[in-house]
Amino acid sequence: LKILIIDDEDDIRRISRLALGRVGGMDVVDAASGVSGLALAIAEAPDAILLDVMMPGRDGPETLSLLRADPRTAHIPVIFLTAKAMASEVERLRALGAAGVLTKPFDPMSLAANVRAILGTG
Amino acid sequence: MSPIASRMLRLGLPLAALVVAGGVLVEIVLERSELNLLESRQDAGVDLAMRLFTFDMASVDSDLAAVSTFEEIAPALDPEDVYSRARLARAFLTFASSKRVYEQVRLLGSDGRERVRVSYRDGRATIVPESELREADAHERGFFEEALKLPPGTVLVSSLKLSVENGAVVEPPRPLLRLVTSVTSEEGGMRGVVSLDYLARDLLGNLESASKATPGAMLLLDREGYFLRGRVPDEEWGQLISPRSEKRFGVAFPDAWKVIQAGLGGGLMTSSGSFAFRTVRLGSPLTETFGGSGGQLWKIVSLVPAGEVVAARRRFLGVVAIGDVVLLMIIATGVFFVATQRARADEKERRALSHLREAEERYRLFFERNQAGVYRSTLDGKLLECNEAFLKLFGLETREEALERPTASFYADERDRARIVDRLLVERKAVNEEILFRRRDGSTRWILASMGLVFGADGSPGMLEGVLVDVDDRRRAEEALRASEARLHALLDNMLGGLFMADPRGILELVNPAAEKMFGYTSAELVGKYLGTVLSLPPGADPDVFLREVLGKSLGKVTELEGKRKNGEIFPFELSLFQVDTPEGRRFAGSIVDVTERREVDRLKREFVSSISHELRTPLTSIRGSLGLLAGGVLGPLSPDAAEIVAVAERNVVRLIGLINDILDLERLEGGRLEMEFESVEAAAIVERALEAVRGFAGQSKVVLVVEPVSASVRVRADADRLVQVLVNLVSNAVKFSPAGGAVTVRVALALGMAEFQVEDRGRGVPPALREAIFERYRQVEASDSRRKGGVGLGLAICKSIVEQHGGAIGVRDAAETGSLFWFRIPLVSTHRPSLSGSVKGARGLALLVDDDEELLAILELRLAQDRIATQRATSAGEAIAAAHALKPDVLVLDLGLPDGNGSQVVEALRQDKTLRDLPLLIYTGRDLLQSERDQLVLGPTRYLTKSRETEDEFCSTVRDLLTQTRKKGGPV
Repeated sequence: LKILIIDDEDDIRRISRLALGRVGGMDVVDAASGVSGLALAIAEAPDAILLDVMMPGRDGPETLSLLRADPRTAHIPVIFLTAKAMASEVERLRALGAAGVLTKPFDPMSLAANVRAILGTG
Repeated sequence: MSPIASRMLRLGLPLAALVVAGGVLVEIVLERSELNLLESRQDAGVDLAMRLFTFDMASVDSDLAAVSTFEEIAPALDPEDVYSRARLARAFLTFASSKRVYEQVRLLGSDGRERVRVSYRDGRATIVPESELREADAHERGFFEEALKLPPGTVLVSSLKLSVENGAVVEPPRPLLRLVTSVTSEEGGMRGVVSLDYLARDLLGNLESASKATPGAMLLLDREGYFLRGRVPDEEWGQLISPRSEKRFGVAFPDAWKVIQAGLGGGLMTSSGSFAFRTVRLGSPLTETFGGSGGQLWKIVSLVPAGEVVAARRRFLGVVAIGDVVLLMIIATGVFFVATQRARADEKERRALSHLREAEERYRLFFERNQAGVYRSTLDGKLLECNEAFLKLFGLETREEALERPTASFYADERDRARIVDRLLVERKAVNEEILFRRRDGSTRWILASMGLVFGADGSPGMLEGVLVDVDDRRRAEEALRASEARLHALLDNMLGGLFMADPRGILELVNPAAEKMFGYTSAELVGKYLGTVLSLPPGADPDVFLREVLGKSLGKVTELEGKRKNGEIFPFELSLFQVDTPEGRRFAGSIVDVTERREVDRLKREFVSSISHELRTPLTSIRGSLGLLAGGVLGPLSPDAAEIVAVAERNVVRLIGLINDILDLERLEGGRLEMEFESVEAAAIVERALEAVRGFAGQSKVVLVVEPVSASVRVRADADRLVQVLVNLVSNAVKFSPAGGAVTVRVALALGMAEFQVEDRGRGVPPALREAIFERYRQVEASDSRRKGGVGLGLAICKSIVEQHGGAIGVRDAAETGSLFWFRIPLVSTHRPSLSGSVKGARGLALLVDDDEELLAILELRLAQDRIATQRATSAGEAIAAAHALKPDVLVLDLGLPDGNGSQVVEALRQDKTLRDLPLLIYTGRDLLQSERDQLVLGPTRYLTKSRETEDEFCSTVRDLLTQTRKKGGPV
């Protein structure tokens, strides 16, 4: 299972890589912005994308629409990662076409399991 | 001829000549004396008549001065000010009823329209309704316009005329004198005229009494010589009654009229008779007359016709002729006879003098009994006479004391007198002024002085006459009132908070500058307007209903409302509404504070809390992730010490995250921004999910979780996630505060249409004093707890907020054994009304009885059951609200004193629910309620019964009655 992480925070990317790679045994690639993430998604064709919502430049929802607009990435399931845990926020993100929504801070030991649960590959 | 006879003749002739000469002499002396007496009596008579006339006029004049200073006059000039007009009409009414000599008392505007009219007829004064007020006719208008030109305080008087009704002179003729004076509003902007129609009965009555003391007739003539008082009624009022237009003094006595018309006073004898006369000015010496100065000079004339004068002479001639003959024989008899005549004459004179004295006595009484101080003084300041009231006014004991003092010394400022005398001499008209006078003891008083000059027979000013009315109390009260009003105004004008006052219909009566500024209107624009003008109504709301609700809801407390500025801007304000009872009735007063800024600050604070919390999450995610990976051994095994320390760090990061979530939750709950999705949820599922979440923690704490079975049929209307959050919180707390090896029991009970979730522990319990406090923010049972057990204590505050948004209640009580029992109640799903009325077959309806007196409840239930009314009971405010929501009863019976609050809270809560707002309500309480309390306690049809006062039958019939009201509204069958 190959996962692309798009997050502007270096530390979060680092932890996510460990949580998904070391704990979850997944292949992990990461990008620090929406634009580089899009390029990487085309290049790497990951099985799923973990996408931060609040980013400078193109934010999560914008990046999602870019991904959806490109036929090469349109099919890849996207899981949002957000610091806003409100029900309305979760609803809004789902409505944009995300496969799932995970909230920060997350438990690194169960992150991979949660991703698998959303993708239905658990 | 015998020598004796001739001697007798010689002797007799000179004797006879002597006697005849003596007789003639006697006749001349007697006749002269008789004529002198006649003249002097006539003169005294007209003089008295003149004084009475003048005095009467002075009284009327001072009445007009008093009326024109009524404080209601100035505001009543404003055509819009209905209220002041009504007050003035009442003041006029009192005046007219007490004086009884004014046929009409009126206020007219400068437009010639009557503003207020009070008429006095047949002993009754009445206020003329607004609809019957009219414009002055053309004739009157000229008169009023002249009055308007005169400075205020000057009296203008019309000629004497007859009262006219329906265009015809009233029979018997009723003479009227119209006096007017101009008035101005305080700002001087509006002018008007006060008018008195004086019924001149007394004026003519005085002539009547003076004529009793005078021989012949006493006449009153106007300047054309028409008789205002004639010898016979038939010759009077020739100037007004056309068939009598030839009845004039000048026609009857042309010679005398020439002299009388030209002179100011005196006497004359013509072939027609003996005349004495005086000139009087129409009105008092203090008055202007219509048509300019000198316009209305009237004549008082005493007339003794020639016939009577000649008769007097003849009597004497006859006496002398016979006397001559008789005296030839007996002079002694003649002398005796003459003496007798003298005595008779003396007697006659005495009688005349006594008449005169009587009339003077009448004048004196009139003068003395007047409540106003009346005096006359010389121009250079010597007091000539004064009445009792004058002495009282100045605190003097004897008249001598008064007469000794120079009149200037009566004035607080001696220069006032000189100033007034100068003014009188220059202007030659009345001075009406409030002047500060000094009493004997040195104290000063405000006195309304009407002063004028009395003109002598030659037309030169001879004396000063004054009428003094003490207005000190009024003046000082006015000054005190003005000072107090000024203080209040300064307060209202300068306070920063807005203030308004409205009548019970919501019409604004007062708005202070701060409120003007807030709403953007001027006070003048708002006063008289509806309070709703400045409120922002919810769309589609009926303004009347909305306002009534607002007034009801806001009374006695602070509420937040939305206001509407003149420019349409909507803004939030805080209203503290209170009731005040004023002499004009009940009023609502409101203190208002614009909370736009406070709202903005609140919003910024919430945004700040929200954004700072989110900002914190990013670093926390990293820390938590790092520690999690370390603790999970992902990065290689840790030494036992390192693993322990990493676990500590991880645990505390998790706590920190929880805390931030709590803060966010609470902030959202209080901002009303935490969305809830209510659905039908099984209570059992909630319990299961909550226990799942805390099982691990309980295991670590070595606390046993016991769950009592929950029936699957128990369903609540709730947001499941939020309810789980509440239950998790309570169970975690219970675990936290339980000793190791202890047990925490969770169960769900049913109570009055609510599901009660209970969490029972064996901990140390919650002291009763803290049972409410722990549900407030940042509280724990002991301060040290927060360190020992963790958490700042936001949890219970959040629970309370969530439960209340479910329409439920939360609390804590002692557990059956040791420890505490936390509970919260959530309304059951009301698919159908539970068949609680099962015990009553064919019930007419369901009554919810709320009272903490269980014995009374039992009695009432029994009694209502006999009437086939099903009942359900609640013993606290919380239960009552929940039961009303769940059961939707047909009638609510409510006691006010409840263990957990007040019945008014129940009413308040039910009013929020559209389905319960119109619920028939019976307030059944231990004491009589004030009307203001009743006004607060209303749902649908509402009745009030006092427990000790009404019988149970009364109670039942009231409940039955209320049930029929439900039925009428298409309520349940």
